[in-house]
Amino acid sequence: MRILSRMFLTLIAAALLNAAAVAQDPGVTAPAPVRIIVNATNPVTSMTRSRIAKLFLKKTTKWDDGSKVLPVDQDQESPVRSDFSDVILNKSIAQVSSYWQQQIFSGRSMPPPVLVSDQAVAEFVKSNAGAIGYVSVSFEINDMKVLIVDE
Amino acid sequence: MTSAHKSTFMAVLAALLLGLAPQIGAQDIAIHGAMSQSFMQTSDNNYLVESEDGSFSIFEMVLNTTANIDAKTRIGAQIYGREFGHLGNNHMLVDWAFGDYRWRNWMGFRAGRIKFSLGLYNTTRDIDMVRNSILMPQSVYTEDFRNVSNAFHGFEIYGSVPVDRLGSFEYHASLGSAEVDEAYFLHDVFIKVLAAGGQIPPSLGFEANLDWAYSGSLYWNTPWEGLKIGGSFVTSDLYAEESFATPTATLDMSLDMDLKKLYVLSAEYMRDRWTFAAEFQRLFVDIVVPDVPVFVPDVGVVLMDIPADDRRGGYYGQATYRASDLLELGIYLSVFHPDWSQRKVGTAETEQKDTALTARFDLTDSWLMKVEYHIIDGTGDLPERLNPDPSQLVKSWSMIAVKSTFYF
Repeated sequence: MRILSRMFLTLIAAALLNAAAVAQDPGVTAPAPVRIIVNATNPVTSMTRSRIAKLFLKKTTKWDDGSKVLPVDQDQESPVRSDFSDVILNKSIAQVSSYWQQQIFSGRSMPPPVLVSDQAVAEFVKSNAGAIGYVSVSFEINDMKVLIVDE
Repeated sequence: MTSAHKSTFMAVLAALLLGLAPQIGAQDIAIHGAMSQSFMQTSDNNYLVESEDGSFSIFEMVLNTTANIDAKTRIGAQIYGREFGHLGNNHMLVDWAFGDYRWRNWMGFRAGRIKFSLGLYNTTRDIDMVRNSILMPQSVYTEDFRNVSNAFHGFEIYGSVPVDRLGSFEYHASLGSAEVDEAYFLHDVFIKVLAAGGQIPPSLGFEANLDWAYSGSLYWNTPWEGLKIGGSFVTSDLYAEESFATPTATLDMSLDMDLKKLYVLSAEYMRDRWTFAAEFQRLFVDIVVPDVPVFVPDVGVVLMDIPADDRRGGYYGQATYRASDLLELGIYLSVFHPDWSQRKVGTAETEQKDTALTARFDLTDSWLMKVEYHIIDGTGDLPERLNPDPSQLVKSWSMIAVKSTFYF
């Protein structure tokens, strides 16, 4: 039992050191912003960050006109997904993943579909009136609306 | 419905979901599952399982499937099985299975087998991936009581009502009944009554039913982003029967339980990589075990009604920190009193304080490991079933636990 206890305390110490290293890593910079896009026919022009988060977490599932919101996500490994999680959802990807596990295994909801590129997200948003997605700032946007994000 | 019937029902339902759903236009059919193995060892005393010598007898598996029928309608089901000491025996049971019609954001309707929306985490208490610790704080999420407050068959309305700048309110209201497959909470009532007569014969079978369970919850998502507070409750009646093999004959016992109130007050605050949670629970249960054969000197054996009311209570505070995608650390203090009115007495048997240090390692997208260390003071949550000699209980003890979960 003592050996196990010491092993555990060693693990905790290692974990704390790891956490400190992550916090002090000079390579970690402020995340780049992302662009939130909706279908060109959507009357919405701006939205608060917390409302956008509710749409992507499916806490709000309808637009103001009663039509269904169709959020679309990007690949978990992509930088834009990481930026979106930090800036808009205020959570790490791991925290968001845990949130969706809660929803799935309680039968409450399912996560948005995942598309693998800005181009694929743009195509989805263009072809679905209720869609909302996000793309990198460098991506060229045509025939869609970029939402102004209010605080 | 027996376990075999439930498994068959589940298989049929899964076949319907997977095979027929596309033909009726269902979209987004998803299947998810998980499998966990744990190890627990305590320095002294047996806790939840026969832990003093170390125990691997904690195994869980879960499988679920859901399908969107249309924009407002979904169906889904989950089966769950576990071995938790002597509980479970790996029988796969329907954990939940319901249809869900979300008419508006502020009102939806569910029908089927539904988890009680009790406390912050009852609906996901069996799912290891969604939390930091291996063992949830036992002051509120008591394993021995799990099957009584787990799920019901019936109806539920729910919704989220935005209130302008005040944030929003989430509510659930439900009505139903349920079979209770196993419940050490109830088994231990019989054991206590029998132990008073100097015998603990082996159990031959257990059955219990919750009648007309009412439950509800209301949570306020405050304007302070990430802060949620609220409360939830369950009220029900329960009837349980258990048979025991005595040296001379089979002894059939029953009990009537009036679950007057089980309520939980909750608060959760999530900010950046931190999550803080605190909950307080009280249980008000009146129990009568009727017709217990009791030997009375000069009279002989008479049948008596034995009361076994339960007024337990407890609370916990928890903090977790997501240090990186690999690592999440946590700590909680969980305080349990088997009789709330005795909480200030301060003796070992009137309380159990558990300070837990926890670490979760997300090793891959489908595999996680957890390890935790508990410093425990008090013996108020240690049943006679696992610790038959109370004089051998140790007041200050510790526990270490390790768990591995694979999921998809």
